[in-house]
Amino acid sequence: MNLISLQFLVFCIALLVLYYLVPKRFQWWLLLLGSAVFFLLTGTPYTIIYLLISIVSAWLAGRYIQTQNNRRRKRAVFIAEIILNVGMLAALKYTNFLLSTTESLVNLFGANLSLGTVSWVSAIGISFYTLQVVGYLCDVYWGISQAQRNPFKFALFVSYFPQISSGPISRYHQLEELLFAGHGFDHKTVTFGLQRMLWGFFKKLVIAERLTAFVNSVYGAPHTYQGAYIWLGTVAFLIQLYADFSGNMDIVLGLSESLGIRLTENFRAPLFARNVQAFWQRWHITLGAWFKDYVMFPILRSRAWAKMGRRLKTRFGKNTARRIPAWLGMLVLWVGIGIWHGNGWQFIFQGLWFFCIIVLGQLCAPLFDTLRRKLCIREKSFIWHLFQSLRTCLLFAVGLVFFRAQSLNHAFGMLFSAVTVFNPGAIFSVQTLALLGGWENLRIVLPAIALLLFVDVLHARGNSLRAWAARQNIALRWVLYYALLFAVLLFGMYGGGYSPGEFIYGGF
Amino acid sequence: MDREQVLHRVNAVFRDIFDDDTLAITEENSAADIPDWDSLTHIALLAEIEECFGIRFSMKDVLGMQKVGNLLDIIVHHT
Repeated sequence: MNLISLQFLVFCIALLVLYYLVPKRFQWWLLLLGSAVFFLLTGTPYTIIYLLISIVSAWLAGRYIQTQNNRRRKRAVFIAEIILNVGMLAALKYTNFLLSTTESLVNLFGANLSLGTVSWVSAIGISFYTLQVVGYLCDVYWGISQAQRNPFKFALFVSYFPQISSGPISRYHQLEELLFAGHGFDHKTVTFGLQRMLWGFFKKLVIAERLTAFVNSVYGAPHTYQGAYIWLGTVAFLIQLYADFSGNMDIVLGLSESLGIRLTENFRAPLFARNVQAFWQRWHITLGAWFKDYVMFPILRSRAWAKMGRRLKTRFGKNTARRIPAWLGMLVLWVGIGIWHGNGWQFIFQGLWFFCIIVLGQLCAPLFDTLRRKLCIREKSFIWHLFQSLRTCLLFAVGLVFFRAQSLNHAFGMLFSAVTVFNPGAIFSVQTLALLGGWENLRIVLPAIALLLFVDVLHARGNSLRAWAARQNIALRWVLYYALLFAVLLFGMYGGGYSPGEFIYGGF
Repeated sequence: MDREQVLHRVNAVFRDIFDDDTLAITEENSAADIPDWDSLTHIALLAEIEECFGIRFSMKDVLGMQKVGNLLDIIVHHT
């Protein structure tokens, strides 16, 4: 079931009505039932077996870890359960990548090996729910959360339908109380949630979908579209991805909010970040936070890393002893985030790109600071912030070339062409205009992007547009709601033989 | 060791890590109040404090610290 479909809207409305009609103690049961129906309608039904294996094994392991006093046994079960879940994800997502890499490596030495491919069907949202399950197990093992006694409640935590296909990645101790407590109907909560869903549909249908054709053309034929086309295509992809993924999150968080369950925010006006590190703290927040807490921190706190730090301190001094282990831990984090995004070398390079940019940013920070002072620019001035934000967006967009390109070769080819082919006139050519869908497309999408940025500016300054709208008189309020609704209905790309694409992060 | 003494020694570690001799932390301070206090500095800070007080923080401690006050609670508990 696509989130952009009439079927999904009917499903949501029916569930919302039933949710507030049933007694509060049965609400979570209804959500569990709804999650099962959503999963069966969205993916290939038999892939529910992967989900069930994760749920049952993690629930049993959590209970065992909680009740077992023997530390060795506890640790053994914890590690075995992590291996089972991560192994299942790795087998389903990365087997073909491993086979093709092995094949290429062996064939480098003159062999003629052909390992073929496997065609396992991956379960919907496996990349997201596996991280939730691993996070839960770590929290129980570390004593942060109590293991859930009820297997059905645990099943709801793992499979909660608004977030299962695209996140955000929730922590058990943050979601537990909200999921299982009953929620009475609250007009403000429900309308705020529905408004947010509408804003998500606007981002997806009016912005992301209207940029899809152009991005697909540039990235589909990198030999034809070179130089300025690649710059323009990449900037368009940054906006498309942002509108698509944050729109997806608005629908998910809005739907959940209307059920009285507030999920963790996944975006916080990232386009206004001043450096790439800060950008990632505002973009797909729950993924970065997950890798930081459950991968990087345990590595940095490990005995091996501490030993490395001590040795470096003796030989090279305190500063090096602090920096090198920290950067190595960060390297593991970025390679992990890269691999999580897909099964190809381009994704690993995407992670490496962000790692290098962040480390270089840390090293060059004093240089930039000196330069700014010599140019007599105040740190908090608008012009400096604008420069930093544009620089950050550009560096992030370059990383996205690896994410969007069909292969690592294509990505490098496109980056090479972007810096060696000088054809700025192509940006204003008739061909580019045609690829962008002509003025009839641009006169809709450009104001829509401006509106998106305006709303982000308000959010970055801590203003809530929904709260502001709620304070207006009834006439103005409804004019605003209808304006947004009609903007989606009139300017959105859907219906009449047009099928909106899946959300970019929906297939993970 | 009383809380005031712990705060004094922790402050010395903060000054060393952030390379700022004028830094004076309070129990209410958090990562948001000190510009360079990011996740990597947080880990470096904890490692120095562990060495200074001869203690070892658990992962629960590491992930649960929201402000300097929480850090002091844990150190006082351990010492």
